[in-house]
Amino acid sequence: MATHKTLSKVNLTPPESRARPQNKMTLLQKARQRYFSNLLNSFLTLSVIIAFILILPPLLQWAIFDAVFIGSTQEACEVAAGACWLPIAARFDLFVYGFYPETETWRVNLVFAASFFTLVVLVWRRISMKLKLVYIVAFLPALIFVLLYGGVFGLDSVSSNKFGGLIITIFLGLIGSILSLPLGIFLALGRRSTRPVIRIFCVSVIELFRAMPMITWLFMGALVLQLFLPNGMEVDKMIRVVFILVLVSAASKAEIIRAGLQAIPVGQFEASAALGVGYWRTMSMVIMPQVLKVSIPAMLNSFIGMFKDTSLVAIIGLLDFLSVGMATMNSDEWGKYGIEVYIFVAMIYFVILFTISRFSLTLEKQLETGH
Amino acid sequence: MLMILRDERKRAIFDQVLFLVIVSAFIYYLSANLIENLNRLGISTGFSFLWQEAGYQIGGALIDFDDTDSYALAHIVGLLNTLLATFLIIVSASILGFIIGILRMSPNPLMTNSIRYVIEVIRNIPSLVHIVIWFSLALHLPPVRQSFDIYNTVFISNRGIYLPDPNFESGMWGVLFLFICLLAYAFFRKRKAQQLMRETGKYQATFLSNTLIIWGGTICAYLLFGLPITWQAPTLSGFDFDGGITIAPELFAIWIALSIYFSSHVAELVRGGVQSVSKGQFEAASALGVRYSITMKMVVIPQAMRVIVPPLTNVYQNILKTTSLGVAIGYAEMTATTGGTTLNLTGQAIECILLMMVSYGIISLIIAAIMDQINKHVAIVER
Repeated sequence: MATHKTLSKVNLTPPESRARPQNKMTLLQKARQRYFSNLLNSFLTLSVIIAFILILPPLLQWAIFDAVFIGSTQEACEVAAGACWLPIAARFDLFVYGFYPETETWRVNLVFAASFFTLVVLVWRRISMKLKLVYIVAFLPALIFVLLYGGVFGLDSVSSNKFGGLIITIFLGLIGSILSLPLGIFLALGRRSTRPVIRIFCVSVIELFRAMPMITWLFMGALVLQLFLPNGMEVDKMIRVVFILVLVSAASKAEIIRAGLQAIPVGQFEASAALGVGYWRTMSMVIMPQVLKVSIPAMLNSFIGMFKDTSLVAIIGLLDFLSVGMATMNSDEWGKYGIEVYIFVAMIYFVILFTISRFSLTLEKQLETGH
Repeated sequence: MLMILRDERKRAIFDQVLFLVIVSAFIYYLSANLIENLNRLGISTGFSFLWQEAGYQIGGALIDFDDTDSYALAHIVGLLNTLLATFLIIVSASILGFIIGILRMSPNPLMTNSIRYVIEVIRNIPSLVHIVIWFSLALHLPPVRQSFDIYNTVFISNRGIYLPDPNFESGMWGVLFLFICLLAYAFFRKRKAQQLMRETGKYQATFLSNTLIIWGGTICAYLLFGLPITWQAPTLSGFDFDGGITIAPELFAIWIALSIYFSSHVAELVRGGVQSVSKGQFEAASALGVRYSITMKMVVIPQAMRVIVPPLTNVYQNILKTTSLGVAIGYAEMTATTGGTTLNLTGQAIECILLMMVSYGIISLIIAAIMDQINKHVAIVER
């Protein structure tokens, strides 16, 4: 046959393999292509370089070479031309532990360690999702409450007005966003409920808390909440603030979970309804595990937002990390060095939040089971 | 009894009634406590307190206000300051954010990487920390007597920035009228060029000539009418400046700090929007020999805007809410006047909170409505 003939003529031996074409560009040519390929590109490169030259040397001169690092009183700073980093060293304990009793600081350190360990747990592949959830939602808050407040297991009881600095920031950030999770789930389910009364109630609660600035709610917690309680019932200020943070954060979490719920195909609901599974079992066994998985990255983002928002408690007079900085600036001794103190505060916030956001990126990549 | 719960419709009614009973019992409990507490403290409810004399002073009010004016006027003062700060921050954060976002997508790795790190740093510092840093920087500026001056017209000191105050004379109306006429004419030219493009495919550049027509014409008219604006420069008298417009350090700090903070959010949105435009669009444009800047302007950005505008509404509403942090540095906006001083002086907590909620809600809705119009403009037109 004709095709047979032509086929037999086909040369089936592969062509001789050739070496990969060499990239002959030298380093200089490469640099030129990347940074000076045309007028606009050269302009961009030069402007970045000029900005660096203008900003970096004076900044380094101020922050490092001319700065004062050694000493304990402000006299050491009087003669310096640059920054004075002494207030940070002088008030370091206040920044980290507030007025927490000195003999008990190991408990605070343990809380910090447990908080950091949470991030590790989140990205640890070998721990099951269920165990992670139990650790974060049940174990961690209980541990933090027991360690910080004490009063059980032979730990000395510490009043919450001794808390301060980083303790408050981490306590409010973690407890606020963890405790808001269950409430957020119920609000999101309520918002998608088929019962109009429940739906309208949940929508109004969510929108109410999202419409007003956080600081107004904090004012409300600090000044007004007391009016709603029976006469004579005093609630710890810290607990009132946690309560407010939980409500505000639950409203934003509800929106995240609602987005997650909308991402679940209708087939999942229908399949479990067809099998005769009830509403609560469908939600807890079928839907929520999927929803929580897809909304973890958004949750971590909202946690970062929450952590940033804890700095607002400085305005209502809780001595959080930023507030210690403000108090340092208002003190007679270190009043002149406010900028140094605030730069330190900003750096610590940056380190904490940047770490969380890196872990969140890692987690996002791990959870990406799609294409 | 239990049989009722097996019927879906009866079950729905049962659920809602139960829910309603629990919620109203809870609300009843709270309000009973509230009424009891208010009676005990001798606070009367209602909004009549708004017409009482406020008895406190507000620094940095945009309208005349002194301590004999009412709480209602104090609320208006705060509201105006909130609006001013929100407007200024939205404008400058958008402009800055768009520039940073576009530069972030430039093909120059040095530029993109340095901007990436800067954005990362700005985003990971709380907004309140930004504000207090800029406020303490503003207070470190030289005192009034040794203030920086720029050609003796703009003065920068730790009491604020002093700008010359424009005085409009009657000739300005003529200039304004001509300016509007020129604007209309330029718009007409652009429409005509667009029509030419649709009908014949010929491209007629109008941007440069239009700019020349508008500004050239306006400047000519300005000269012709005999310089109808006179600038009143601030002058040093005693310990402060007289005349001119003052930007107080509080407004300066919150404006700069939040512009920088939110420009990073806008820049990230712009980046997301540009990345959402498929790569084929870039490649098709460059295959047709279109320059990078034109590709961005004519092909990529119009498509990216569809993705950018809806979440931008959210950012703008966040800006509105975040201006409330002005209370930390003593900027007299709504949360500081109504939510702070008024609430503390009168004890009318519920009313003050309601008043603020309504005010914030209305501004929020206005922002949403404006953004909705813009969104209609940039959204895909479907046939």
